[in-house]
Amino acid sequence: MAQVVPFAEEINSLNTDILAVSFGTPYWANVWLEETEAPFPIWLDPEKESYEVYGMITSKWAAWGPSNLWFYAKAFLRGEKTKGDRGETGQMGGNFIIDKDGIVRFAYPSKNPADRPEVAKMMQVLRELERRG
Amino acid sequence: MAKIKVGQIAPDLKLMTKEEEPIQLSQAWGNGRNVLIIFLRHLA
Repeated sequence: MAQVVPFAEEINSLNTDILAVSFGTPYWANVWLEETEAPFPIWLDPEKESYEVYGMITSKWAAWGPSNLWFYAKAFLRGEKTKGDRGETGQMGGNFIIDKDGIVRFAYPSKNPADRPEVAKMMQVLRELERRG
Repeated sequence: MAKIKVGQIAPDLKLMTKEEEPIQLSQAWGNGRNVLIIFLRHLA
C-alpha cells in the first residue's frame, strides 16, 4: 500500500479510484486511516471471502520465509517498529485493477509479505485504459 | 484457491464499510471509473 500512496493523485487523474480491503476490524481500520493518512477508503471483509475468491495466498512459510525475515530485519535496522498483531501473519495481500466495465486488467496476488507489484506496471495498465477511453 | 485472470469479469462480493454498512465490491467500479483494489494483509 505504501508504495501506491505517492502516486494516488496521478492514479486518480487516470479515471481510477483506489480502494483498500482488509479483514481487520472497524476500530483498526480507523486507526490505520489516521496513521497512514491514506487518501482512499477502506472496506472490510472479516470473513476473508474476497481474499479467497481473488486468490490471495495463506501461508505461514511465506510469512516467515527467508525473504520476509530479511525484509523485517532491514526494517528493524532502519529503526521501524512493527505493529503487533493487527492482522494474520500467514495471510498475503495483493493488488488488482478492475476497469469501469468490471473486467480484471491487472492481477497480482503477493507471494510473500515483501512481494509487491511494480507501481510502473500498474501505471502502464492504467495509462492504456485511459488511452482506450 | 481461485485464480483471477486478466480479462475475466471481476467477482462481486458483499463487503462492509468501516461504518459496518454492507456494500457490494462492484460499487467500486460501477461508477464509470476504474479501480485499483489493494488487499491488505494487516492494518499496520
